[in-house]
Amino acid sequence: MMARPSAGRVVAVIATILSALWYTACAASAIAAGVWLAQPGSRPEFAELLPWAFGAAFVLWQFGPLLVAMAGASLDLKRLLVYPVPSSQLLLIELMLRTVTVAELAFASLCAMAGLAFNPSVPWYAPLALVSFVAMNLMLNTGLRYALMGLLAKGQRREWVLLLLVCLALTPRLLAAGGVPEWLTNIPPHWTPWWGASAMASGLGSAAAWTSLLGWTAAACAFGRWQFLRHLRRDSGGGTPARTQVRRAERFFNLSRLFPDPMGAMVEKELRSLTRTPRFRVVFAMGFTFGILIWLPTAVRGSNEFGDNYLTFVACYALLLLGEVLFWNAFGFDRTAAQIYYLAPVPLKTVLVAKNTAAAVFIGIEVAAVAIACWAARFPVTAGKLAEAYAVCAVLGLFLMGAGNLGSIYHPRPMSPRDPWRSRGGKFALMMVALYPLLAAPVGLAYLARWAFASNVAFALVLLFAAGLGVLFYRIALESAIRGLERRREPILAALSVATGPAGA
Amino acid sequence: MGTVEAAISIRGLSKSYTGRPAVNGLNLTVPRGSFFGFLGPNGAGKTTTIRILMGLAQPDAGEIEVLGLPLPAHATEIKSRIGLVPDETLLFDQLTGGEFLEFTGRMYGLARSVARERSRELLHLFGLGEEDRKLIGEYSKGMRKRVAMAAALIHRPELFLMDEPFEGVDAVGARLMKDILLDQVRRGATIFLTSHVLEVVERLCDRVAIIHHGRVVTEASPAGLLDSGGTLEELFVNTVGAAPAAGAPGWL
Repeated sequence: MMARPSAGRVVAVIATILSALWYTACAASAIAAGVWLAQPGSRPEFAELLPWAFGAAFVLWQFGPLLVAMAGASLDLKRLLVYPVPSSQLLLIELMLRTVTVAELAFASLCAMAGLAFNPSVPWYAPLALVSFVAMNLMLNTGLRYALMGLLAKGQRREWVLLLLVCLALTPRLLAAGGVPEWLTNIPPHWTPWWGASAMASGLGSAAAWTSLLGWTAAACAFGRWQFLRHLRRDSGGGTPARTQVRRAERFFNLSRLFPDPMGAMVEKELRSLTRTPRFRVVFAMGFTFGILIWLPTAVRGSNEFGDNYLTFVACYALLLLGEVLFWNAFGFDRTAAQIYYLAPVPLKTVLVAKNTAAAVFIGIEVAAVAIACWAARFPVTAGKLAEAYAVCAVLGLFLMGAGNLGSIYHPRPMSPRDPWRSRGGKFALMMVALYPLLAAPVGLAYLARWAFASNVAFALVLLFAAGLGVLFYRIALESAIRGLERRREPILAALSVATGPAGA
Repeated sequence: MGTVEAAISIRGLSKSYTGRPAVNGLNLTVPRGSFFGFLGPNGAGKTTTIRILMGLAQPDAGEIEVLGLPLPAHATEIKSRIGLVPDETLLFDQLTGGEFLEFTGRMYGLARSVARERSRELLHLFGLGEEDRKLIGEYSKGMRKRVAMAAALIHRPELFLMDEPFEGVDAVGARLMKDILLDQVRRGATIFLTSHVLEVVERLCDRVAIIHHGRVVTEASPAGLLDSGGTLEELFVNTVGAAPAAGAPGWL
């Protein structure tokens, strides 16, 4: 009988196949583009096309690595400062890393350069324009990356910047829905960083094109070098809140007095820890900012029904956002310190229930925050709508916590308290997101009943049934998770003690 | 079998990781009220033994009694009577030192008011009173070790299990910790500690066991060693094998 391959192996094989397909497709496209650029007859066509291609390449080159830096998944060259390596060589290493991060674009540029070099109808400087364009992109990206890291280095400012960037990422979607503003379409093309390069590569080497290309390249080189050297000199910043904030929230933490010890102590610890964890705060704030914005175009264009249920819909979406930091990896922020739960004379059931209780408190606050944001955005927020949002989120929360407890036991991993998107559990988190519709199905049935019978009573009855199902599911999952906590203590603690490694700050 | 006088009694303890034995049939008795030093070279099995005693790892074989109670049958009762200082300082970084001590006290059954009062006193005792609004994540290594020690003391345990408690602590902090531990022994508590600093062990401990390849190879009293003219370092090096100084590369 053949042994079944492990899930990890299957995922690795699929990932390898997908990567191979992606890079093969990229390489084939790049080579085809190079061959096309080498044809003398294609010049009029590529003169039309290159500004768009260079514009797209510029956007990809700048934003791809920035997203990687925001996620914290990047090497910090400051660690090499202990060795006798000059900063100019460190900058070279940095540029090589920037090249590798977007290897597809680097290869495409190389093919395009070769194509232009073999095309007799374009002047000698056409391929060199690409060299300058690549250098400009690399240095500008280096500068932007380190400028962003500087902004993200300090505690609270970091959270605001991250939130702003996340909301800015919605700009294309909002522009597509609301139309491009006139001022944006009126920007002169020769001000853009790609215009000079595309004009030169097409053989249109005017003084304006030379000035634009060389000006952007020189500015990008100066900016990139300045930011990189500034980063090397900068001390690592702390990600902790100021003292006054530690004091201000005391009344909130007193909520734990509702429970006897050790449950009360555990709930208080969770409330204190999570409210001071930058990653949690960013994701929590995303629920009532990003969550409102992302569905706004759909609500504006969509049916009245969607607009009427906007509060509940966004509240449920906010719970999905909170999944990684609140449900699916309950011990992630504790990391090595999760050992304390095994060392203390407290049943492990108390630990899990306390974590779930704290999660329920945050669900309650999140729904309230979403309601305020909806009210501010002029969506209907009545007492009935609010009660519905709370009821639906409570039922959904039971399913999420039940599944999350199992996930926390069978796929524990340490979580960085600072980087909102840095996680060792990417595949698992994706799996949980895929499971979300299944977990939300009982709540969905309640809405189906309302639609089918056009009756709020039918909705309430089915939601009540879903709540009963949720309680049952939660209890079964909790018991199973507690057995897992006992049985799997060594693998759980080993997984949570894995160091963060050389990547990231 | 453990006796009433033994704080820790271990018989035939074994534990392997991926087929390699970390602890291999270990037998050990730690008398109550003793200051017991548990020594060994790196990888000898000290931390594995202490992790099993703390309940963080499951043994493959063997019998353990702690404070007269069998482990793991009475794990919860045993845990409530011991104080722990693991090798890694296990602290929640997003709490202040005072909050962590209060949390620990409440987890060990102290009333909130008692835990709060004791945490305040312990912070002052360990010189952390000025840092009461600072989060543990911002503490230095020495400060973290002091908080860990304070947390081990808050519920007045009968037995302390300590893995390298003085590592990373400055001279003042180490002196304070030693004084407190000696005071605890005087009031009847038992201390079981591992340390690589043999001078400290020699000065503090009234009983020492050396573990090598997962077994106890020597058990002695440091005082007896000193009487016979030897030192703990000599005994340790002779027991576990001296490093061949002649084997160093010529250019070094």
